[in-house]
Amino acid sequence: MAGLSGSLERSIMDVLWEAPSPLRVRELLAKLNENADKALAYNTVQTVAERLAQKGLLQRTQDGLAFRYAPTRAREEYAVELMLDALTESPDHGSILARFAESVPPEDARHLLDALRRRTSDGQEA
Amino acid sequence: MIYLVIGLICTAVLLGCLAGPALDRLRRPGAHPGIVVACWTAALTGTFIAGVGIIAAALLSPPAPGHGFLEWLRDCLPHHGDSAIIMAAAASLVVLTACCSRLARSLPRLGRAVRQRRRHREMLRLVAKEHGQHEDVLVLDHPVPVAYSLPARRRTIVVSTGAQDALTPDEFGAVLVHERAHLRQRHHTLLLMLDLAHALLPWLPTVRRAKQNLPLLLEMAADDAAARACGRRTLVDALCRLAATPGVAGALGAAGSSTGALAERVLRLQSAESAKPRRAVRMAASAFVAAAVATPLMVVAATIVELSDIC
Repeated sequence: MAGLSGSLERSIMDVLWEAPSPLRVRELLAKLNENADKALAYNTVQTVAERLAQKGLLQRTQDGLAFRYAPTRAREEYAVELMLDALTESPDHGSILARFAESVPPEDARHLLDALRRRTSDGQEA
Repeated sequence: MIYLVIGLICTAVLLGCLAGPALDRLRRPGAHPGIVVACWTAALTGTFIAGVGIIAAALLSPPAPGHGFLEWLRDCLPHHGDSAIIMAAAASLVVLTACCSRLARSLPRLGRAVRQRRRHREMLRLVAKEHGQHEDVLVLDHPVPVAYSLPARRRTIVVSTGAQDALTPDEFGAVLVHERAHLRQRHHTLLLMLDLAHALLPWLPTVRRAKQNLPLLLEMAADDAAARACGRRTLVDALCRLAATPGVAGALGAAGSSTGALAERVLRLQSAESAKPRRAVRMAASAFVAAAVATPLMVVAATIVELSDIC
């Protein structure tokens, strides 16, 4: 988890989560370089975006000769998935973390699960 | 030779079936969790050394095919009866099939846990924020209060914004000490190994009871570290705040009676006697740990020496 804030993957995801529509690498690069001390190279950003797409974090759509990139899932969905990991014990593998206390009021947990379920069912319809 | 194998089997039965119930009795509020954890770990390790030794002896002792293989390697002609060889081959086949089927059930489980942990870390890397003051803490933006730790190179403790809001600075400190104790004492590895042991041999009494007791004991060990550093009062407050309503695990369909566990932790912290374990207790525990690990190791070693002498 070295260099969290400096991680290019994270910066790219942040920009794309903020963006209203899918971006080309050129536009992505412009946003990233807006408030950077050292300008990033086009190839660097393209390579990392491609890697994120291969990991399934970004989806790309053909636009003329170039690709447009957009996040596959909203930031909140990742947060909900992390919370579920943090709160529940999965039956198909051992514990991956140690919690401080079993801590969620049941109704909150249910809201959490419902929200997740709603999101995933929306995703399937889309 | 036969005495050594009998010795191995006795060790396995002693550690695998009788040590668990005996250690179970140590579960009193007064018992020092670190010492009990060490005893459980030693009992499990010893059981598995003895188990592996028995399987190895079954496969390699004459006239089993494993032995035939060794003989062939050493270029000495087999001098055992044909029918005995066939019987031993059948027995070896049974043993190997049993081992493989157990491993095929449990190793993928371990693999899934490791992959899920990697995935969790990757998601954290994208979503969580760094904590301003503590360089080993990540903050997850979510109203539900939760705090946990998982092994990683850096930033190994995660707290949600909900937990940050619910805790006073002192209580927050106690939570961090608790989680750091988990990480420093490698509790995550121990829990994974325990899960692997339970997937391998769920019916063995020591393993079954270890699975029931060890997670709580590990929490208590971490609690002790936090109570020493920040005071019992603060830790109990933090526990109560992060467990606003008991009975969560049941609602989420999670395993175990965690509310009972939480109540037990709080009661233990409030009972206020935290005398250092007596010298005699420490000595007895060390003796048990040493014996539980060393005995099966020595018997296995003796068996191997004996085996190599037969040819």
